[in-house]
Amino acid sequence: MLRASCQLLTQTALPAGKSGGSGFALEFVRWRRKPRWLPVAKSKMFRVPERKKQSEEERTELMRLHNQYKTQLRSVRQFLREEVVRHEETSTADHIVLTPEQEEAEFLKCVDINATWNAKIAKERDQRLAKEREDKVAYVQERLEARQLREEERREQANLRVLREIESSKTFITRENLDAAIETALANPVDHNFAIDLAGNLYRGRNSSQVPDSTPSSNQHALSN
Amino acid sequence: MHLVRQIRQLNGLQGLRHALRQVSTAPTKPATLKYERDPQPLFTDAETQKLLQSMTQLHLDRVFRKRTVPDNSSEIKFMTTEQLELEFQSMVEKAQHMLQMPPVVKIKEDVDRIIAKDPALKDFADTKFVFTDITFGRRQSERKVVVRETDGTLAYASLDTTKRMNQLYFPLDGRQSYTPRMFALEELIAKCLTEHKYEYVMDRLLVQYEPHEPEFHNISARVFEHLNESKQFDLLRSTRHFGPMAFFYAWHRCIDDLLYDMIRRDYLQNAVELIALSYKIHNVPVEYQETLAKLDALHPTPAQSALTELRSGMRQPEGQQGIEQEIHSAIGKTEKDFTADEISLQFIEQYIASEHALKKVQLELAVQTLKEVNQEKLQLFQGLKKAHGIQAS
Amino acid sequence: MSLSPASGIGRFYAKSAKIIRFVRLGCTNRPFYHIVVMERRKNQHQPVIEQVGSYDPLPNDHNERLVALNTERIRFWLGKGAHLSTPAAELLGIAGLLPIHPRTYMTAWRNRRTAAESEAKAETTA
Repeated sequence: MLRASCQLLTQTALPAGKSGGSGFALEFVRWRRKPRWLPVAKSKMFRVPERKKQSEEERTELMRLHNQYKTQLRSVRQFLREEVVRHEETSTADHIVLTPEQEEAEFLKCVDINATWNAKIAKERDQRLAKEREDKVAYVQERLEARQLREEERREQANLRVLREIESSKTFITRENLDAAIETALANPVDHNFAIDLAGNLYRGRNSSQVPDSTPSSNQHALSN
Repeated sequence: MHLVRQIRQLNGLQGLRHALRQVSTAPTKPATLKYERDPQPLFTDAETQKLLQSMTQLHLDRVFRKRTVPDNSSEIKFMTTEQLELEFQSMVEKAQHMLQMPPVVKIKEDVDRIIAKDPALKDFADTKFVFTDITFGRRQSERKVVVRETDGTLAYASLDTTKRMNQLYFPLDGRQSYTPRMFALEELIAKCLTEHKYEYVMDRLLVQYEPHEPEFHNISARVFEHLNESKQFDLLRSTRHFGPMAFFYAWHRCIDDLLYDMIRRDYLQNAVELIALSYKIHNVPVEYQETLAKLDALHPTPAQSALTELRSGMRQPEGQQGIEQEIHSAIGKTEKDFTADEISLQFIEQYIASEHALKKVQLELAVQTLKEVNQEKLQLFQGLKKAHGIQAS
Repeated sequence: MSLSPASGIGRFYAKSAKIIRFVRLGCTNRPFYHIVVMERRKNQHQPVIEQVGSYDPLPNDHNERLVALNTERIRFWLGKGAHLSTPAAELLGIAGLLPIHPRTYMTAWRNRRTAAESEAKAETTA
C-alpha cells in the first residue's frame, strides 16, 4: 500500500516498458526502488551468500535414489507407451485389418449395393425423363398450333386491308386525270365557311344576306352532316 | 444491511449451538433388532419378491399422488380407446417400477486392504493424502479411492471415506455430505416418528445412506419397530418400503400386529402370504405353496387389479355383465373372492392354532368378526343374484 | 482469470513437448491446484490441453489433503511421452501410480531428522 501511494516515484522511475504493457492495476515491485543498472549497495558489497551444505552421504543417497527412480520411470513409461499403442490398435474402427478375400467380398458387396441403387435411380430417372419429353412435345405442339392460328389471322387482316386499299384507289388522282380533276375543282368551288346561331342553325357562305331567307329545317340538316 | 448482518451472526451462533448439541448427544440410539446373518439371498429370491410385491399392493392413486417436488404438473391429452388402453398399461408398468423395493442386505464390514508399506516414507507430510480416481464413466461402486497415511502406508480407503469422496466429486442429488440433522439428533427423529412420517424418513434414509450401511440398518429398524407399536401399517402400503418392512417382521418373528391389521382390513390373501413368508424364512415344515397357488389362481395380480381399476372409469357396455358388476360393486366381492376367503381363512386359523402365533386371542377375535361380516355379505350376494335372475355359475 | 474447461481449449502442436504439471488457482493464502496437461513452453495460466486432476494442499476437517486424478488420461499422456514436473511427479509417486520420487524420501528423512533434533533439544532443556 505504501508503495502504491508513491505516485510521484512511479511516474518518474517506471517507464511504460517496465510494467509489462498492461498498465491497469499491475505494478512490479521488484524494480520500484532500485533500477537494475544501479550498482550493488555499499552495505551488501562484500556480503557472501551462505551456501547450504549438502552432506556427502545425503548426496550419494540422493544420487542412488535418482538413478533408481529414473530406471523405474523409464520402464513404466515404456509399459504405458505400449499400452497406448495397444489401445489404439484395438479400440478404434480404423485399425481393423481385413484379409484380401474379406476385402474383395466387402468390395463386391459395395458394388452390388451400388448397382441396385443405380438401377433403382435409373428407373426413376427414365420415368421422369419420359414424362418430361411428353410434356415438352405437347407444349411445342400447342405453341405451333397457336402460331398457325395467329398467322392466319394476320393474313386475313392483311387481305382485308389490301381490299380496302384497292377499293379506295379508284378515286385516287393520278397523272392522267390530273387536269380533269383540276378542272372539276375549279368548276365547282366549295365554300366551307359557315356560321351557327344559338339555335344551332347553320348559315353557309361568307355573306349574311341569305340568313332570313334560309329555312331552319334545311340548315339543320346541313349541321347534322 | 446492518440488520441482515446481525441476523446472519445470530444464525451462525445457532448453527454453532446445534453443532455443540450434535457432539453432546449420541447419534440416534441403536435398534434392538438386527439381521444376524445375511438376509440378501432370501430377500432377492424370486418367490419372496413375488410375495412381497403382492403384499405391497398397487394403488395407483397412492403411487402417483401429489408429492412435494418442484414439478407436479399433469398433462391432458385426447386419445382413442386403444391409445388409452396402451397408456394404462404403460402407467401400471411405471408404477411397478416406482415400487421397486430397496434391497435388504447385511451390513458391509470395513476391511483394511493395504497396497504398499514404505517405512522410508514416514513423516513425509504432516497430513494424510486421499487420492480419488475421477476417470470418466466409472460407477460409484467401482471407483478407487486410496489413502497414503503419514507413516507411508498406501491402502484402499475405508467405506466411509470412499462414500465421502464420491459425494464430493460426483454428488448425488439430495444426498448431503454431512449427516442430516434429522438423523443426527435423537429428538428430531423421535419427533418424526411420533408424527408418523414414516415414509418421509424412509425416503430420506434411502437417499442419504446405502442399504449396506449400519446407519441404514439402525434407523430403518427403529422405524419398523416404532411402526409395529403404532400399528399405522397403512401409511406404508403401496410404497416401496412395505416389502422390506414385512420382511423385517417376518425375519424377527413379530408378524402378528401386521397380520391383525391385514385381517381387519380384509386383505386375507396378503395375510396368507405374510404367514407363508415367515414359514419360508424360518424353515417351518408347513406346506404353503399349494394354498398360495390356489389363491393365485383365484385372485388377479396387483397389476391386473390396477388395470381393472383404471378401466372402471370408462363407460362399460350395458347388459347382463353390467348388472353382475353392479352387484359386485355394491358388495365389493365376487364369487371367486368368497371361495378364496374360505381357503385363506382356513390357512390363517391353522396358523393361529400353531405355536408360532403370539397374540392368539386378538387374532381369533378378528377372524371371527371377519367371518360374520363375510357371512352377511354372502347372504346378501346370493339374495341379490336371485332377485336379478342370474344363474349361479 | 477465468477458468478454461477441463476438456481444454489449449492449442498445441502434435510434436511439441507436453507436460503434466500444476496450475495454481485459488487466491492469496489459499492455494489450490489443477493438475493439467499443456505445452511445456507455455505459461501456467494459458489455456490447457486437458485437466487431469486437482490437488487441494490445505488439509480439510478430517485432516486429509484431497487429490483427484483422472488416471486413465494420465496414463495416456505419459504413454504419449508427456513430461512431468517435479511436484506432479512427487504427487503421482505418493498416489502409487508411479515410483516414489527421491525428493519425497528426502523430505521424509529431513522431517524425521528435525523432529529428532527438536526432541533431543527439549530433553536436554528439561
